[in-house]
Amino acid sequence: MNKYIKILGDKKAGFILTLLIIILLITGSIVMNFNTDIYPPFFEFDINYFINPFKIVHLWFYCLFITLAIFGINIFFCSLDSLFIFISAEKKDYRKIISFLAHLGLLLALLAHLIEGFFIKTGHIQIGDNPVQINGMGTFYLKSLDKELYHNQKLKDIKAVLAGKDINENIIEKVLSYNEPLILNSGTKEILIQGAAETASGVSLRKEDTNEYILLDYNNNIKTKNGNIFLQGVEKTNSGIWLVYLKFQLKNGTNTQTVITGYKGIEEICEIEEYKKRYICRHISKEIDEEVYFFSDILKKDILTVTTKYNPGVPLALLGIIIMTVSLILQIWQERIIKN
Amino acid sequence: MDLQIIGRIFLICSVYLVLFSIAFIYYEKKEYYKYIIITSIFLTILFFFIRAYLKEFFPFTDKLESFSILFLFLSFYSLYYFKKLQKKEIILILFLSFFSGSTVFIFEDKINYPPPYLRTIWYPLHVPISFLAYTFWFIAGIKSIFSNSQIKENSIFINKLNKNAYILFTFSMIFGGIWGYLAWGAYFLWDPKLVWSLILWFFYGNLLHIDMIKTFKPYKRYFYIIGILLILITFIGTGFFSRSIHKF
Repeated sequence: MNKYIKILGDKKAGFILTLLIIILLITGSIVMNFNTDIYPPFFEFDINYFINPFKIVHLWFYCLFITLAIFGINIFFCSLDSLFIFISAEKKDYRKIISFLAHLGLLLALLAHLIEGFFIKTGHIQIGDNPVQINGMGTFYLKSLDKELYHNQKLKDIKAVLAGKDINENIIEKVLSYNEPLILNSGTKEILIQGAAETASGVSLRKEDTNEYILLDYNNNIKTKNGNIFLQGVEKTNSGIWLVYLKFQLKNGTNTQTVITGYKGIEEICEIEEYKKRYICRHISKEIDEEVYFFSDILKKDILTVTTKYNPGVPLALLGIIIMTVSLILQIWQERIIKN
Repeated sequence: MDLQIIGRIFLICSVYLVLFSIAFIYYEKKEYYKYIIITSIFLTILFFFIRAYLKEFFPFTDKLESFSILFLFLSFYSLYYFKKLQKKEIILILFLSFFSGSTVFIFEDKINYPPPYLRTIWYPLHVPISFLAYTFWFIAGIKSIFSNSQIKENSIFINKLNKNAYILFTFSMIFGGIWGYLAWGAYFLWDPKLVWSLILWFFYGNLLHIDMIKTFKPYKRYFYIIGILLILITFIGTGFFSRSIHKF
């Protein structure tokens, strides 16, 4: 038995395999650097991407994968060998147990990475003040958002309070920032801040006769004599002009009329006679159902862009890291003992 | 005079002091060398304090600061390992330190506040520790250029340097991995800097075992010399000539 362990955990083989891994990683690094269309910058370890479909350009990865698999077997038996020597020796050599732990930590990290490679899932989603369901994580909404700025007005950090319920109906409320994600399910699920922005949520209109300001968003409507005015949509054009689409609907639901209202820069457009019929601006009114309205302002709300991650390899990676850290601490401790 | 300029002057002075120290080593005026290096280290530390004050954060976030850390560590360890190194080895380490510090004349000196992703304790734990590891590996490589690594005393010294560096670099990678998990949701990504850091980690990890393998032991010094090249690619090559997100 020991003979087979020694063969499979041969140190010379391990040395050569490591050199091979290094050469393949260098090759991969060069290939990735010059094929940006195939390997987008900063992409995660997704084995499915490499094998589905098979491509000749990924050859370095297939070789690396096989070499790492053999290397994994080699270090498994090598660490087993260290453990057996430690157990069977009368005079205990603690360097053997340190070596065993270091190799075990590496092995677990490799295994965790393998799991990650097959099962990792990434998504991007925007969360506003309305609850959003995130697959496998729960339902969350943005409770508040604060931006911290430097003196020169550059972004320092974001503090976003995310509230909601996870898939087990547990109530969750957590302050998210750039290095503080929401971690769920023993670290396998994460919600990370990608950025924050303001988005248009509605429009403010001014009634001519009463000078009353009316706020219109997706959740309400303006009741008129014969029908209702609804918010149909809000968009920002490439030239930075906000367009808000309003829909007027008669009570019987048949006769509808779309009216467009605008924001910054739209005033010039409103001067054109043809557009005057369609647009209402701050100074050009529009009559809808015998009432005259002016455009007043765009209503805005905060929205948080987040990345969602699912990586079932995280607990194993954490275990590997802990074991490796223990081995490093023991190594430092042992060095001190020898020194003293 | 504003603080930024004062800091820059401190750094420039300390770079020139390292250059002078080379001359003193060459003419074997060891005492002067020591005082000059200590003064240089003190001025560099002052430079970092000023940068930290101006940036409101740990000052390791741009290329000038990155090269200055290496400059500081190399000059410090030339002094620390003074008795274990030959004259020409110290001179080469100091030249390396001087070139690293000379970037103060090349790079634009701007105080940029760190972006939100860098504002974490994991960042200052990750970066300087890896630079300290590079320093040990550089010294091991330089020792291997001039000294026979088969001589027991040299071999022990090189192994010790590698062990120190490897422990530090592993901690650095662990801290970097934790930071990556908290900031990007992944402890490893296919980024040139990360791949090359992994290459370094495997390479020097392998060298920890070289004395146990008869076939490769005679080539030990050549591996350590190749190591210098790998560090330069990891530190400079990926930072300047690749599409890495870890650009300076």
